[in-house]
Formats: sequence, C-alpha cells, structure tokens
Amino acid sequence: MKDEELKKALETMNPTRAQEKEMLQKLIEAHGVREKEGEKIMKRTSSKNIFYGLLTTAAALVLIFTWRSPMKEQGTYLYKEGGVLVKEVVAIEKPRGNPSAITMVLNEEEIFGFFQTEAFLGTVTEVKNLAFDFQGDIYHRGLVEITVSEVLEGNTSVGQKVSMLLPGPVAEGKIWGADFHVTRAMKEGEQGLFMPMFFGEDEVWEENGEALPMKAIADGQLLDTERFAFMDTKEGILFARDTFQGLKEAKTLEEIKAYVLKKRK
Amino acid sequence: MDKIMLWTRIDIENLYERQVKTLYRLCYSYTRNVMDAEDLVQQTLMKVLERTEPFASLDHEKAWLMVTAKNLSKNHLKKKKTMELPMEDVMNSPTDSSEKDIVAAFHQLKEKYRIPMLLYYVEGYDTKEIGVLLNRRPSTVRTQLERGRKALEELLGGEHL
Repeated sequence: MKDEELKKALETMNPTRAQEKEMLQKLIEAHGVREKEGEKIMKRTSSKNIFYGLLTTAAALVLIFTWRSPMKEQGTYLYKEGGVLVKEVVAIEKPRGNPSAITMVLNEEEIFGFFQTEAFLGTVTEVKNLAFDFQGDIYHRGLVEITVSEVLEGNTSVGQKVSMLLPGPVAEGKIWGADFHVTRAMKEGEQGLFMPMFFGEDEVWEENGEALPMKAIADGQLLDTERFAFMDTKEGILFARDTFQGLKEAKTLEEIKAYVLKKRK
Repeated sequence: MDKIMLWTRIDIENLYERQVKTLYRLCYSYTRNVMDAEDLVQQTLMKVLERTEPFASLDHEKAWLMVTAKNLSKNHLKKKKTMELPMEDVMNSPTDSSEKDIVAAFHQLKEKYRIPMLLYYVEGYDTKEIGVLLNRRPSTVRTQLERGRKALEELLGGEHL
C-alpha cells in the first residue's frame, strides 16, 4: 500500500455536510454569537478571568500613573499602502488591541517543538515602538534590531542585522499590554540567545479589512521575550526559569547555548 | 465583569472551516464513535473561543487545537467506555471498497498506532512534531508508525501490499 493510498483512505473520515452544518450551528449557539456580521460579542468571564483581569488592570494603572511622556510620533512612515500606515512612535498613550504574546502555558518541549523557530546569539542594537494603523484601528508593537554574533540553527549569518517584532510596545522597562511574566523590554547593548519565528513571504496581518505584509516591517517576530529569548542583563541572566526545568540554575549564556543546542537536535 | 471577545460569527465560521475536518478525524480516531467525536470537536472549539489572545500563526492555532482535542478525547475515554457506531450511518464513508477496507482495518489498530499514523499520513506532521503533540519521544513515534503500518497491512491480508 502506498502512503498516498493510505492518506486518501483516512481522509475520508469526515463528517457529512449535514453534520458539519449542525455542529457549526451548535457551536455558534453555544457561544452566543450575534447574527450580525462583524459585530463584536460580549461574554461573561469566569472568576479566574476576573482575578487576572484585575491584576492586569492594576498593572496597567501603575504604568499609566508612572508614564510621563505624551504621545509623540515621528513623521516617517515605514509602510504606507492602501489603508495601512506604519510609523515609529517614541511614546504611546495607551495600548490598543490585544497583544500578540503567547500567554498560554507551555512546557519546554512545546517551546522547542511547536514553533518553527531559528536560533542565534546576538546583541540588541536598536529598540523602538511602531504604531500600526489599519484604517483607524491602531495597534502598537515593539521592534528590535539584533546583530547576529553566532548562528545556532537557521539561515541567518554572523553580522546580519535581524529585525524582530515584539508582542507589545516597549514602555517603562516592560512590554506593555502583554503578559508581564513572559515579556520584558530588551535594551540596547544587551546580549542574548534568541529563538525568533521568521515571516514567510505571504504572511500578512489582517485587521479592519486591510492587510499588511509582515515582511515589509520586520524579518520575523519573538513570540515573547523570556521563553523565546534568553537575555544577559545587568541584573543577570534573564529567562523563564520555571519553563526550562533543566536550566534552573544557569548563570551564563554559554550554559544556555549548550542546553538549547541539545534540545533543538 | 464583562470582557470584550474578538470572535465574530465570521471568525468562528472561518476557524471552523479551517479546522473541523482535522479535529473530527482526530477525535473520531480516538473514540471511534461519531456522536462522541462531534461532542469533542464542539468542546475543543469552545475552548479556543475562550481565548482572547490571537494565535501567532495558523500552525500555532492547529497545534493548540490538536493538543486540546487529544486531551479532551483521552479524558473522555477514561470516563466512558464507548460504543462504536457504524460509520456508514452517520458520517461520510468511503465509496471505494479498497478505501473502506483500509479505514475499517485502521480502526482495528491500537490507539497508540492509530493516532501517530493519522497525524503522520494525513496531517503531515513529522515524528518530532508528533512527539511533541502526543508527549512521546520521536523514536517511539517512529517505532509506532512502523508497527502500525505493518499491523495494518497484516489486517488487510496482503491485498494492499
């Protein structure tokens, strides 16, 4: 039996069209979605979500009260096509939209196995914030430039400057609006081991009926900065120690490098 | 406290269109029962609709759904001894008799062979990725694929060799 024969046979294990329609209808009813297209829906949150919501609100309030700079924007657009505008901002008023951080709990096997990441050592050479305007829907993200010093896996080369989107805008030492436990603002001059996902040619960010080709803005993205990056900071080596059980006691990037290489094999 | 969710009807329909067949095949391969598979697909998709953060990519979305569907299916099997329903009555059944034989033989395989085979041959995951999804070593997955394939061919009596 050829693989193709087996695949074709197993692919017949599908629901009927009627079953599919019934399941979709049940799903929509169960979720309580409104019929009107494009209308956002409201959902009652669980007590656990309320707790985390309060924590997030408290954290946001702290940031708002410690935030000193008014919104300032630099004039140059990084991208201006159709209804999409992308420009650098030196400060932001408040985060808009959901951050893109992967806030789900992942163990280290999942970190190394779920995502098509590359790995390299490098130095942060630039950090800035960008505003993405999709016909009035505005989102903010940090953008870091990393100069590669050693390639562990992937297609980068030593000396290459790689631009990476962060899951939220950088402010007051944090990545605003994202999960505070797995994100931290990177600082210029810091060295680290990075495991970014590179954007494909056809990868787009769609919002409000507009589409932005991601490659026009950055080479790739860091899903968060403590599980997909290991930073050598003034305060010591920083990464999600609770996620990487085998690295709990690590004190140097060299130790981390050896471990990451072993896990990525 | 209410929280604004980002799922619209269109979003849900698109998600459903993208993932329903994959999820259904996985849940059905675990349970071998169409009603249970339907329920588990529904439960899996309800879980994803509780998320407020977008997925990093479609691969991330699919992997998340596969792991969730796997966990729900396994929990379900622990709680309930399933009765198989004849698939001809309630789901698309293969029209080709050879395909019918293959699917029937596939469902006679042990679960530890069925699921890696589905993920490998139909969903296109490699052994490392299957290892992550099923929490097994890639070498174990390779062995299970080989043994499953051999068992399948034995069940088919050499007709399909």
